[in-house]
Amino acid sequence: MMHRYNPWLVVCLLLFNTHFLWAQTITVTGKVSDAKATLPGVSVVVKGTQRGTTTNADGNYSLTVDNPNSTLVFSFVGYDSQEVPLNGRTNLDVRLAEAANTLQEVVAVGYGTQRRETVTSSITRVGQENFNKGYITSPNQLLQGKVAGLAITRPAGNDPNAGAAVIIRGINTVNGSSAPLYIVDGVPVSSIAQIAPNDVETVDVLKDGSAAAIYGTRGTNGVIIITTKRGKDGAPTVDYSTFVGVEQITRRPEVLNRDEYLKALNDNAAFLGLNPADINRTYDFGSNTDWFKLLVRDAVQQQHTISMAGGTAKTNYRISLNYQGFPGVVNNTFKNTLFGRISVNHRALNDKLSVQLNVANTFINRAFTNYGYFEQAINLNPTYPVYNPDGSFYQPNGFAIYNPVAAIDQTTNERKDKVTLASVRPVLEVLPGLLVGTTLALEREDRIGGYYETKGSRPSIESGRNGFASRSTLFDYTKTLELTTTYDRSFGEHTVGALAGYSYQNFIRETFDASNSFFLTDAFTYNNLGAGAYNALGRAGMGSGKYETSLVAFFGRVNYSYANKYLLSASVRREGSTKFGANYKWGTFPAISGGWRIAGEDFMKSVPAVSELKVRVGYGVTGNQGGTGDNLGLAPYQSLQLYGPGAKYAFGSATNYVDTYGPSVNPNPDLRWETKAELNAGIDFGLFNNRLSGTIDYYVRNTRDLIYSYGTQVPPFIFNSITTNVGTLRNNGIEVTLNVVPIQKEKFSWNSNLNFSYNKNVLAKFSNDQYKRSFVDYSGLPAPGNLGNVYRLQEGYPVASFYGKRFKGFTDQGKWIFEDLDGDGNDRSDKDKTFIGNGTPKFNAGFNNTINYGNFTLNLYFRGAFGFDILNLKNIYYGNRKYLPTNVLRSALDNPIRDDPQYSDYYLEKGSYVKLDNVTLTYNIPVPQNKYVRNASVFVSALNTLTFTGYSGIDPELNISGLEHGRDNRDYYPRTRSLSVGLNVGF
Amino acid sequence: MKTQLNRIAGATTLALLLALSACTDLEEKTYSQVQANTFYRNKDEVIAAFLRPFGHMCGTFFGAPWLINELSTEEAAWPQKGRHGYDNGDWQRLHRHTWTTEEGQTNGAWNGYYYGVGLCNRFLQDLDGIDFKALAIPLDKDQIAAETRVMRAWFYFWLLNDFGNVPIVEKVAEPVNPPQATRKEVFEYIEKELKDNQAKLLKKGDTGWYGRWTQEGVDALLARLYLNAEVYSGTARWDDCIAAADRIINGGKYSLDATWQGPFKLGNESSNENIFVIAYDEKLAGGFGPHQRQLHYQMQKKYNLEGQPYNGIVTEKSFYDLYAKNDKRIEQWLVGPQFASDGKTPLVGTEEFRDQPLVIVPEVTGIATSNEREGVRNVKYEIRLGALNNLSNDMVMLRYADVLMMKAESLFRKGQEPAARVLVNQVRRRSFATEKDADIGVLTAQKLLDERGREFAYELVRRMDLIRFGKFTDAWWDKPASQPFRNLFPIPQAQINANPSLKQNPGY
Repeated sequence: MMHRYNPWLVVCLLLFNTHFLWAQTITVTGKVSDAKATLPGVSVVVKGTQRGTTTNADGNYSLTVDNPNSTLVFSFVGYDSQEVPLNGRTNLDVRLAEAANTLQEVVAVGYGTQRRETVTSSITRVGQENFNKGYITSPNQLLQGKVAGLAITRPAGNDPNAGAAVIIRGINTVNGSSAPLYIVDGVPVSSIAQIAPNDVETVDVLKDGSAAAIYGTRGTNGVIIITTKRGKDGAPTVDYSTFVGVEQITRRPEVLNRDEYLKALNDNAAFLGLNPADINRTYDFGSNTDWFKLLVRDAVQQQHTISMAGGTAKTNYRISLNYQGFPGVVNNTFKNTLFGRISVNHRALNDKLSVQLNVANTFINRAFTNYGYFEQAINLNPTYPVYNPDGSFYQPNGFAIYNPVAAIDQTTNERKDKVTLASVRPVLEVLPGLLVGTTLALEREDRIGGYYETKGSRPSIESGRNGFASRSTLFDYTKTLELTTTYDRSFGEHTVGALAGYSYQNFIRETFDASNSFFLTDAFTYNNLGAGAYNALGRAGMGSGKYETSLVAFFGRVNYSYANKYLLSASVRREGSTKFGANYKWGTFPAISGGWRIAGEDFMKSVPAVSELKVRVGYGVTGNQGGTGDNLGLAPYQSLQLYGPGAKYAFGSATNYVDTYGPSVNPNPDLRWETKAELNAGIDFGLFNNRLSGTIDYYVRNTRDLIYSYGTQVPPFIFNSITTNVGTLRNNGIEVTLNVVPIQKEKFSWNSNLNFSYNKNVLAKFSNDQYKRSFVDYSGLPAPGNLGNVYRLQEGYPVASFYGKRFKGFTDQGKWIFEDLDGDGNDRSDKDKTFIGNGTPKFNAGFNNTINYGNFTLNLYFRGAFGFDILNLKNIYYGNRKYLPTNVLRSALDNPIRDDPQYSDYYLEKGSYVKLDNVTLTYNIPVPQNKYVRNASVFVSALNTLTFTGYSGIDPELNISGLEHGRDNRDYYPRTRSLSVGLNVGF
Repeated sequence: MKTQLNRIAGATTLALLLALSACTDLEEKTYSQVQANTFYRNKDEVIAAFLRPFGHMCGTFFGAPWLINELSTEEAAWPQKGRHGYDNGDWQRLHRHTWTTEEGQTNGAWNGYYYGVGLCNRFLQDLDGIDFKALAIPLDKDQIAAETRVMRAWFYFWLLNDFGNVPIVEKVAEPVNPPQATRKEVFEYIEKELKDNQAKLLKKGDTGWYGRWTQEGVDALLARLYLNAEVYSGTARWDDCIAAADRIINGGKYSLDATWQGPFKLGNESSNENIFVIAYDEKLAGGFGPHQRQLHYQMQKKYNLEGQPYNGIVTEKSFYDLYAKNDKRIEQWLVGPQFASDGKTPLVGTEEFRDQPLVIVPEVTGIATSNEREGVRNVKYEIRLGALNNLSNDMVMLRYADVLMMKAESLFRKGQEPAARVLVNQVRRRSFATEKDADIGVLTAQKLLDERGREFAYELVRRMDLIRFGKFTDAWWDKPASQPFRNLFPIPQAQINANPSLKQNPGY
């Protein structure tokens, strides 16, 4: 993490350390250099004040001071800070020494921080200087391609309303959520929607078990600790930043246009059984419609952030307001967000008491799209008109087709969210080194959705329901209480740290929804549900629910280091959840890790090339509550015998229907945690004054007691499945991070970060004494045809393994021939299916470059995923001329298939890709000393700039969470490249 | 300063202690669910639990049980029509009798039947602890228990019919790995349960009898059990079948409806022919949608349906040809050019015959090579204009015509052809203009089987009929002859995986 001329850091340093005074007595000038060259961008500050400047491109600075005996502080990333008393001098040249190692920085370890050099587990910190820039819709996106072992994809492209898939070190559960735990300013949160990307200061990623075990039952998928920006001592500052961006479509499916379509029908008339004389009469509807083009627009995004910060030695604050106006590239979709955040730090009682307070509130207003529209844009006859001659929408006749332009116009699907996170954390120093702290936090998410289909919409007309309106609300409420006591002391060469704590979190979800149909007018849309007639007919919908779960934990940790060379850390968390069976509510999650800083040994002093060298080993046990669904994780109440409704039934008379109620689940009183044990070994190193530094980690993780629905004995059980703990998933892998500074010259430097990860996943066990599961087939292919399941989950194979027939060839007539694996003469029986591929990338890599030249900074961020297969559903269904007269892809006319679709490895493609994702060019405007503007910079940025891949589909970047990796569906969100220009200015 | 510090430290410690004592409680609290231990607090809850197995029938019988019992015969098929209807080959294997031990539909039927058994067992176990007097429940506890046992026997009847050798279990969750009974033992168990409990039930006409198990319903089920006794137990029970049928006939409470469609019309609760039905309601008790499964997509416009049908199940010419042109029952099949609900606008195809007139033809090229026009469509159950995705017609499981036909067949098997023929003609009469047309002539086994096909098409009896007549494994239009072991479905592999004491049926 060595970014020498990074303007962002400079801006920040200025932001917090600079102010202007009226008094002007002396001007000090000078030049700053290192061992080789002058250094631009070095912060020069008058000690004890906020007054300061930075060196210019030639390394020169000029600063006014009001006291000739002031001390100047010179600081720059990657160098040791230097304080030099002026002693009356007006010219002061300084030579900065490169920092002994950049590992001096501090990282978050969960309930505290630790100096990087003493960390013994696998933790990566990313600072804001390395974040992706531009059109960023979620804080996750800041980290894409930055951290080895942290894979982030956006399976829905730049849909502003879609989230990113985030996976740390592979899939470690088969029952759903692989999302990591997020901690925001010390509070475990359910949602990170309340965070404006611009408010994030650092992100720490806790990857291995020994790091995450302090978070116990939610540590299995790793922990992402987000620290937001805070105020610092000094005069008030105001910063404003903005960008304006525009999106362009990159790739789209190549479908037949009008002429190609009619020609294809004629060319294939015999094969399709069409009478050539009828073709034009029957299939030419007279228009030439590019359906895709009618669904999208040029979307112009904008973001504005204004932040105010300042403070004294006792109190500081930061207030920010951030507005994002993100219309989607699809007509009628948007996400507009207003973020507000206030953070205050306060010290009292002789600095013995510190209080940190955060209040963040986010308002989101959005309109969703339907990815199915873009499937329609593939399969609709291009000669269909969009409108009838009378101006009404044309609706085609056929199975599962509709006019998507009409649907966009006639459908309203909106939602308003409000997310609040408020926390207060008082910490009291009871004795020197002994701190007692409490965190109280409240997280609330309110959503209200509204949906309307007009009276004239196709579903309304077909079903005769004359308009359909619904509203839905969701209310999530999380209360957190955490108590911690820490003790940190050094005794000579011995340094000890200890932590003990208690955590209580309570989650409540309440939902409500209602729908109605048969409206007199479209005037109300979803705003007047009672105006519909379906409730009077007993056909309106209504639902509500409430769920509550709690997590309770006790935890502790001790750290010990001797002479900063021999490092040891051990932690344990005992945690209980309401969701589990009476006998298994509590789990214990221990961890231990140790390290040896070889670089600190005397014998290494003779090896000056090595500036840092540490080996470390950690072992940790973490839990997972399994299951899907935001803050609830595994659905609650599965260990209880619940009664629920069946169909109503006639009782008393043939027309009097009454409720029927009975058992609704096989209860499992033995339901318990999924438990992951992980061994991690790593090495951290820095060479040649850290021109080359890096980290290598190897891990092996076993998740046992996987929560899954297993087949039960029917009879005697009522239901054929029970949610229980069986099976083991194993992931092992290697992660390599290299930071290189290939060029480090006066005006020109190049910093490079290369990260690489390999993960191997296998379902090691899928049975135990009681429950046997030979395999599970999942993820069915859709109609028409319902071609069977795509994947098989089976012991000995990784998740997301494609299971199907092997393509052998075509008959002369273009009919499928598959490998007849069981030799029974039938080439498509169940026994002819086998494992034909896997959709999970085996390798992920990121390559991040920062190049400084004078006042220009260029960021080039590449990332890629390798070693996986993609099942191209668009090809299966629309790359087949037999689908004519439904429109097809151009490629349908190039292949020899003359048969109905079949699922086989014929449709698997290699998915490996490299993306030049983010390119940003920043110009730091040299601002002469003045009373008003502290600093300013402008940038141009591109996201999703270029994709290099052999994959023939739209985008090889697919979902990596869940179990359906590498499945490229027929419906999709169009892929775009976004270009933005921005401005940052500090006052 | 020091005291202040101490005070704060003290307060913190106190808060910590309070939190530790108060916040380690991990009992689950339910809000929108009801736990077993808080159920049965009022009479309606008890009634709801008693009716739960009845409600279960709604979502069950028209699903997997219907599909495996009908699509494995020559009476109904779900052919692949171009890009539609392949459905992983499920329907083709059923048709050609090449099903494996791992079919989803077979497993679905097993689970559905035993789900019903389990609900009955649960209620029978719960019933002990319910004080009918204290809750003022307007039902007789003995009668409710007896009816629940009959309902359980009904689910076992289908297990007997489809899988044969199945475990008999009367408690939820025990024993964990129950062993199988032989098919004969299952037969005897059902017979005993029905006979032991029959007398405690309601009779037809008693308050609230409709949709429930009555004494007459049990006789009809016994008749069916005895009709198939030779297949189920190895011993024919023709006389017992006749006796059970006679009890219904002589009771005089049932009669044939005036037309063949009477039992299937909208509002068929008023039919005097139906003996046991699954009571459906389009809004309250869904699960019955033959129109959705059997009609062409565009026939949505013929009936102004709420949802588009999915063009699945058809009947091929050889079965359709069993109907004479003058047999009114032929009206249950849609064939020829199709029109919208106005009767004038021609419907057009959307697939192979896209935008060309939709003309239904009886010939089906093959189970894997059909198209959207092929195969006649069954509309035996009246479809009201504007029907929702579920129909309100009650699904007929046992009816008086079958009682007569079962008696006729038993008489025929005993060599009393003339008496049998009288009963068969009695059922046929309403479907023909004249008595002469209605006369089937001298009965043969084939004639009897064909007549049952015509009368009971799509009523879930074809498979048991074919097996009883020894024809189930014969070759038909797109099926070669199959092995005799196909007369039973296999124990689903998923069940054997879960319960190692289960043994596969012979031949699989």
